[in-house]
Amino acid sequence: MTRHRPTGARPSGSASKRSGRWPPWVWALLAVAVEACPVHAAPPERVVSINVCADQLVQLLARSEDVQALSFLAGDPQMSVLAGQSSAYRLIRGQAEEVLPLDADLVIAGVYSTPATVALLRRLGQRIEILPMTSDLDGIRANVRRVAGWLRREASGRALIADLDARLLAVRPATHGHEPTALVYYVNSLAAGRGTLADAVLRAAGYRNLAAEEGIDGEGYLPLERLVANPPDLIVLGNGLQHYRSITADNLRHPALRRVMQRVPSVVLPQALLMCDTPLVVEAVELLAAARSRIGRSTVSSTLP
Amino acid sequence: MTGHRWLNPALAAVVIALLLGSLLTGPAGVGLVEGLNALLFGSSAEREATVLIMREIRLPRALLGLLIGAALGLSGAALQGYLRNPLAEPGLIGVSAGGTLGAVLAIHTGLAGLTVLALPLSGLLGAFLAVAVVMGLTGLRGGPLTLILAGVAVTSVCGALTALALSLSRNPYATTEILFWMLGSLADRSLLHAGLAALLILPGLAVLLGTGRALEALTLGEEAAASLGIDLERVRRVIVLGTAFAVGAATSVAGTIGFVGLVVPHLIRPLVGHRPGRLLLPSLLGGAALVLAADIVVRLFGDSGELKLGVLTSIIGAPFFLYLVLKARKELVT
Repeated sequence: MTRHRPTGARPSGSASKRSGRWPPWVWALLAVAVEACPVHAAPPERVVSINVCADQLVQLLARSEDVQALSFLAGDPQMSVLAGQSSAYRLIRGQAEEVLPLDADLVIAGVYSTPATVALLRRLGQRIEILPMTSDLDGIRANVRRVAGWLRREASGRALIADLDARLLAVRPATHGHEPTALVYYVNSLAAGRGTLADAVLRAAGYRNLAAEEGIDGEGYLPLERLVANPPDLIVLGNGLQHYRSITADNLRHPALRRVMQRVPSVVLPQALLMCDTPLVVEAVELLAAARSRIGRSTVSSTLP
Repeated sequence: MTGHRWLNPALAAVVIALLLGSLLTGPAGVGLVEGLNALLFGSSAEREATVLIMREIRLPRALLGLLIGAALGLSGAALQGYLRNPLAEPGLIGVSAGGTLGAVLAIHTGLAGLTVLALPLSGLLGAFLAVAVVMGLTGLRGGPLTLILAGVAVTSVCGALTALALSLSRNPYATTEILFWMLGSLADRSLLHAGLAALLILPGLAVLLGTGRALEALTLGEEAAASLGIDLERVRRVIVLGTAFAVGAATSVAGTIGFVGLVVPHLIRPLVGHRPGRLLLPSLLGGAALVLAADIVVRLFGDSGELKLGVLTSIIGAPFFLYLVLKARKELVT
């Protein structure tokens, strides 16, 4: 029954290249079919991840004794939500030379992992899987199933998704139609618009994304002036200033923004929470949902001081 | 001398018009009367937010455009006059590169997190240190050529150290950061920035404006100038320090805005009969006008992320530079 087991010779990366010719549902069906088949292949026991988002999914799904190494970003609290639980793992920079001696039976890379490293590892016969990027909750569920499938830990994957869904349901707003607006504002005056993970998080937390309504696609430039002229009901700062010091963060320190924030409630989201498309974004959803109660109360005086 | 009398008033009028234009340009779309009302009287028929936009966002931006343009234009004219070299510009003596290095180091040591002013102040410190090294290398007897060579050396060392600091940092926005320092921008600066810049740029401008007579004398050659009672060493100190104050402060709040200091004196020179002393005030006004105008254009095309100011000044500046080269060649041939 080993024919179901993807080997180094047939990496899934080439499937994603071919997916241009095949409609996506064909691949979805195929993935479901592969997952549904009883597979008795041995689960990987020497897993290496070289991508910070894959790191977190591996931490959530794999047994720690099956993990050979994670990327060095897994230890950076600015990048990974699970940085506090990374001390048990070996952390590597993710270069081919470091990966090879680990004798991995599964290497997980990201879409943006250095193509040269991925190609080299693949040529040297490593089984390497590419974790796609998503920016919505369905994509997150699919990624959990995908990684759980690679790790042969389907039950953990199902439990993780069930937990995610339960937590999302718990914070879902009771009423629809009069959702408040929110805006996720980053350093360098970027706002999270349509099609971003932050957009999905805002909607799951019961907000309308003001940046998306103002026509911003992806992460787009929103001049401070426009924010002051048309503020949302909730300002979400996507970077904590105490950790991120730079001249490009001056927009978040600007007195005009501070003045608006005296009137409009605001939340600082830890940068790592929106960095990766993992089920851990539910923490951001809960944080934002909790802030709903603050809207309207502090906006009694509608004039600026 | 013809035309000299109307030049300064005309340039001043252009600067005032552009200052108003700068105050009335922006993505928020504020009307003329409403905007000026909000700015001057703090009242707005429409919204209180307009006051905030006019006073906290657009006023500092317009003031910084004025100050930084003046600093670049004037110090360019003074340096070209002193070095008697048409290619001289403020960046040449290490001010911009030193300012950038100081600011970048402040960010990556965490110093910049202490107060808002820590960043521009360390930029300023960097500019002064760079200039001090340049002056030290030039020595007491060093002439213009030594000054240029020392400036080039310090500039490349500072540039390399800046690149090193940024590539060692784990800051995910390091590339954006490099762009800011290399290309310059006035976006979203605050009144605090404008105040700090004014505090240092204004004395710098005053000192530089006072060098007119010395520059005129220098056109006769160093020895002739010395015989006219000009203390050459003092002139050099005044010009270098004035530039360090003015351009160092400009760089530390707005990054490196290229080509203004180089181009503006060349534009003005024919209008003042090629006299370096008379070039100073018009270059100050011309620099202010160019930066204000460029900053308006930057905002007009700012829908999908603002163009960096330095990009625009370089796009205007580089072809002009080529034109200068061609003209110089033609003059040599004939």
